[in-house]
Amino acid sequence: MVDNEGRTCVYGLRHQARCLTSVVADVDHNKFLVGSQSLRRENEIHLLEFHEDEFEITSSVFQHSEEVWDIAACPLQSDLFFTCYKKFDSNSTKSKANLWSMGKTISEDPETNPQDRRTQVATSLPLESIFEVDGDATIKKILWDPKKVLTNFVSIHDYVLNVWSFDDQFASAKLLSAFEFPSSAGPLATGAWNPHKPEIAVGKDGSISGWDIKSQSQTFNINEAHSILVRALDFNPNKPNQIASAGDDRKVRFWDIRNTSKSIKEISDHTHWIWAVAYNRFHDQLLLSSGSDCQVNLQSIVSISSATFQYNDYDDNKSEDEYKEIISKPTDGLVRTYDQHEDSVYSVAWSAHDPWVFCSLSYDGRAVINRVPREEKYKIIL
Amino acid sequence: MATSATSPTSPNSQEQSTSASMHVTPHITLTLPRKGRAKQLLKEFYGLPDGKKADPLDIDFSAFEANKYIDNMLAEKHLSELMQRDNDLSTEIRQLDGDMKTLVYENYSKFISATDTIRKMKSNVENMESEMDQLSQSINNISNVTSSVNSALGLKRDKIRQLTGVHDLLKKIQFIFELPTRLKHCLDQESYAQAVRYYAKTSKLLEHYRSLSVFSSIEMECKEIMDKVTKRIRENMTNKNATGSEITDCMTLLIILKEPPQQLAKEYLELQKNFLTNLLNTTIEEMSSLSLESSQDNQLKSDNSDHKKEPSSPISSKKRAKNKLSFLNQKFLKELNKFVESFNGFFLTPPREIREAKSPGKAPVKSPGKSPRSAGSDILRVVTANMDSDARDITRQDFLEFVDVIAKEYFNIVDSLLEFPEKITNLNPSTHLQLLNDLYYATLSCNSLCTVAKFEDRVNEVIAAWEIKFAKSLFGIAEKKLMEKFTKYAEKVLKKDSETSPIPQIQDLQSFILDMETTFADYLTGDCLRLLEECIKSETPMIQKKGGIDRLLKRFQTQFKEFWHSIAQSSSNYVASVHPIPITQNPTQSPPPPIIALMMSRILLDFGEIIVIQVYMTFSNILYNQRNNYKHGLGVEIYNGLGERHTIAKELAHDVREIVGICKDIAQRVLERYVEVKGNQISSKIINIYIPNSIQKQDEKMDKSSVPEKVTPIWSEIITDLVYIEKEVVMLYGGPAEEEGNKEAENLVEKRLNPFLQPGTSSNAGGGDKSLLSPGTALVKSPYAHSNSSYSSISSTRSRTSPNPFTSSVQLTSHIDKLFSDRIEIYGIVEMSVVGIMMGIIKILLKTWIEMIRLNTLTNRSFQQLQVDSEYMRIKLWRFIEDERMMNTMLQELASSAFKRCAEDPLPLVYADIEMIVTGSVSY
Repeated sequence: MVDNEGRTCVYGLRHQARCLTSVVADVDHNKFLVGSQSLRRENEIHLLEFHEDEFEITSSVFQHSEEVWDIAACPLQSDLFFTCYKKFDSNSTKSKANLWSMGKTISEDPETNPQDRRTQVATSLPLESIFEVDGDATIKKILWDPKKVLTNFVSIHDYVLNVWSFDDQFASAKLLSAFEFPSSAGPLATGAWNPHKPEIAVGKDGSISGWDIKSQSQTFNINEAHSILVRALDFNPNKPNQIASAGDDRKVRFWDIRNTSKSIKEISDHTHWIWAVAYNRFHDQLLLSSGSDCQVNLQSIVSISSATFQYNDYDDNKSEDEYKEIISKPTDGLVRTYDQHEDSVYSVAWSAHDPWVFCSLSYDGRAVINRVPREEKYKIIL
Repeated sequence: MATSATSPTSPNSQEQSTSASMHVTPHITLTLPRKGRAKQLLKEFYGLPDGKKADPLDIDFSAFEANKYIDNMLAEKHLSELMQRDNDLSTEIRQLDGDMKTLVYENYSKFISATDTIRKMKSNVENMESEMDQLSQSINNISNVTSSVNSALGLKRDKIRQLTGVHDLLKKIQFIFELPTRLKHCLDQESYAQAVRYYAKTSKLLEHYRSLSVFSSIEMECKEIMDKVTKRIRENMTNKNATGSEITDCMTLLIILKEPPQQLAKEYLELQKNFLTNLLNTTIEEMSSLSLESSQDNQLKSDNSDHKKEPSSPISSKKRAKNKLSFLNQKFLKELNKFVESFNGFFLTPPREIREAKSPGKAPVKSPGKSPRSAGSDILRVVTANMDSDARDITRQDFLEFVDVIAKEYFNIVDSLLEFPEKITNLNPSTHLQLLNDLYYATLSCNSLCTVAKFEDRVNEVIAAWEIKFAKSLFGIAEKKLMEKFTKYAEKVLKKDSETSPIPQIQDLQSFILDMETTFADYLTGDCLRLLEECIKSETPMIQKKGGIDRLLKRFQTQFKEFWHSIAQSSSNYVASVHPIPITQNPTQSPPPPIIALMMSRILLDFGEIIVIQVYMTFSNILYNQRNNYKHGLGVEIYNGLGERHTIAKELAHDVREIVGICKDIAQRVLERYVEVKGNQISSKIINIYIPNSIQKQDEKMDKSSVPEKVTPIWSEIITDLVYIEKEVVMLYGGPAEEEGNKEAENLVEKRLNPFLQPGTSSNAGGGDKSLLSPGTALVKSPYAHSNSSYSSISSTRSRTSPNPFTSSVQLTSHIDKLFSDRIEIYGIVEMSVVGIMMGIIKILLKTWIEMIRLNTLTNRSFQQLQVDSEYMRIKLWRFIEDERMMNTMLQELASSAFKRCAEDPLPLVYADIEMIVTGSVSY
């Protein structure tokens, strides 16, 4: 087999694109969803699948007339996803969200020869709309419950955070509760759902606040977490109470939400605004960040990760294996900078299948799939 | 002839003869080489066999045959030669003859003197023999007499010896019998030391003869008395008023009495603890009263004399401190030393000899009137309690703990004497050093304290702590002043900002900074250096002893280095942003204005380029010069930012380089911070007008078909801001202001590069080719497949994947440029110049613009407005930057982003219209 270490797989959309998500529900394939963003043309949703053995990307294209600003894949059913899009009427723009189904047609036929797949002509497939989310015309982000229970979802608007519940048939949603935010300051910029409890963190201007959607109360508030704007948030999937945030001050900061008086770590390796951060779902000592400096940075944050203790244990019985000595323990720091993008990288996502695969998407429509360097990988698993 | 050759002559005379022959008969030397001849002669003298083959024709050899020689001569030589040879020979013969005569005479005279000597010896020996006989007879007599005396006295001697033994024994028994009474007497007289001495002397004896009833009863009696004595001693010892030495004496006695040592040690420690703590407290009280007295004295004096004398009070207070210290040392330290010494002797050193029982007897008997103290100290050295090593260890631990505690208290007092005045520059370091010196030598004189309790180390620690504290506070002031100035200036700026126009005075910035730098440097090289020099030149032996100055300088050097580090640290901290902002913080307290960062970076840069080296050089000249004279420490040459050469002591060179590097580094970082803050400030204005969807709302108000009439006012505001920033920057980062006229003229030429104008101009040139105006459709038509390639094919994919709205050749080349040109780092390293700083800010501004446009949806009108705005900015930004390429690349990016974000098919304005609007706005 060809050694693909260090190689990169690139996929080009025809359009600009801003949003990317991994298909979380499909843990058997490296699948990603990308929504395009063009104003004067029909938009598309690209379902990308990365085949590690052949080292190539295959795709299916779906029609989506409006430009996509955010996309969120259902954590339980691989064919479902939300998009947030802008509808451009003659005079005004309306931001809406819709739940879509790709249908069962796209499920890969295992018999299909990869050769065939490659030559397969990209035809735009239709999407089946399930329902449109009501609410004001400023919806910008949908959050699924990361616990993989399909009862609720959350929508983030300019000045409101809505909690919805699905009905039995999964065909519509009912507004459960809403959190209003003062419209005097800037709008909500981003949000994240704590995988450890029913808590939503939202970024508004430079501050981050946490809201318990059960008790409908504020859980924490970090004033001026970033100097201008918080653009990205992500909870640590393995370690409760830890959240990563990033924003216009080019810093990634890590917080313990129980004590927010001081950040527990700060990384500044970007030279312009950071638009996305993503913890690796399996090894939370790895974190991706991407920004408008056209870079994707893979960071090792082992010192504050859930794996810290694991490595401390190794210290006690050092003599265990010799090769362990050769492969040094992971340390904090920038693992690699991926600079294959020529434009701002607005989103980045880890694969749901292979913990070492991730995808990044730049504004010029280039989706790039990279893998964690083997050396770093061995450091973590050995 | 043959005789002379064979005659045995001494080599010495032969030598003489050869040297003589040099003058008289030079011919003779011809027969043999000189060295060889001498050798030959020697050989002959010692009768060694001749190594050479005998030649009958050689006249100097024994094998010489005269006849043969003559025959040979006759046969071979001419007559004249023969005649010559004959003459030679006769001269030689005469010479040899004379030599022989001299030899004979010399030997003869020696012989005569030898004969004389022998005769004299003979007469002397005859006398001696009779005397020797006499002597031996006398000795025989003596030995006879002695042996008779010895035998006569032998019997009696044994008797006497026996009697003496008996006498001694009787005396001892007498003593023992009398012991109880004596002891009682002593008890009554309270001379316990004497009692103990007696008892110690006899206790072994009593123990030995315990089996005899007489002795055992005595022993019992003695023991009874001694118990009493012990009790009394204990009473004395535990008496509250007992002094340390009294306690020690009592302890000595108790040890001799073989009380359980471990318990004794504990008791002793406890008692001394009380005593010493009390002593310390009373000493402190007395000390304070001492100072009161002296201050009263001072007051009296100052009352008497004029008030003018008051300035002298600090000096007198120093004297007071000195008095206090010596008082403290006298009163307390000595006692402590004594205690440590005796404790060490009693309990901590293993018993060397078993002399302890005997020793009291050896000690001179004391009259009861004499103080027991002297008696104690006499026997002190040899009194050692018998303890096993474990018990000793425990005791040692307890003891050291106690000493630790008491030493800490002592040093606390010492520290209180070494207080610094509020203004460090008023401090007279020599007095402090004098004090430390006294302390040092006072402790050195306390041997036991040094060896047992490591007092020397402790004192050294105190000294080091003082030195470090001194240097720290000295340098710390410089830092404090510097930061204070910054804070004050920041407050001033903030006040002005809130009160009046947002343009505070920046004209005085340069002089302000210059002033700051000079005061800073002056303080360091003035007051600071003066005090350091005073320390170095202090005449105290502590400093002057070997290594003293080196140590001191080393400490100062470390502190100095730390001081620079700390300046750099606090500078960068001062301007750094705080995240998150604490809730408790007063919301009105604003962060320092960015101008401070600019000033800081300038000052730090100056530090790095000039001031650090300057200050270090002065330091090195004054503090290190004298030392270099004898240490051959050659200076190291260092160049400052202006290329001037400085020579600096070798010890400092490394520090200087390090600090210069740090200063420059921090200057750079602080400057970047300035650029960031300023850039963000301006960017926030852009962000405010481009809040997503806001443009459409604006557009809704406008008439849809209307054409933009003027530049959006925010941009001229931003330009005003930039002009003001440039003014600030020029003030601090120098450089002549660009002549605007020139630039404007060039602008006209450059204008056609404006990407927004490109579609218009190119459409004109291309005869209205539709595809140029609507690149979107062109793209759809273009042969395009989903790229599915590895990174190696990226460059080819790239040109297809990024839809290029402007396909004119200029556009294309610039895109290719972008492909090959370096990535534009927005918040990157800022060049330390006016242009560099401005460029940094402008980059941030433009990038924000691009990103904000991408988040928006434009209408045709707002697209046109953007065209106008971008052209306006292009013209206006020109004067701030040198290299327009980067700006053009970014404006291009802006254009392409705007094009893509336009919801309608964009209808770009033609250049003429834009120019009209822009020039209208400019003049407006």
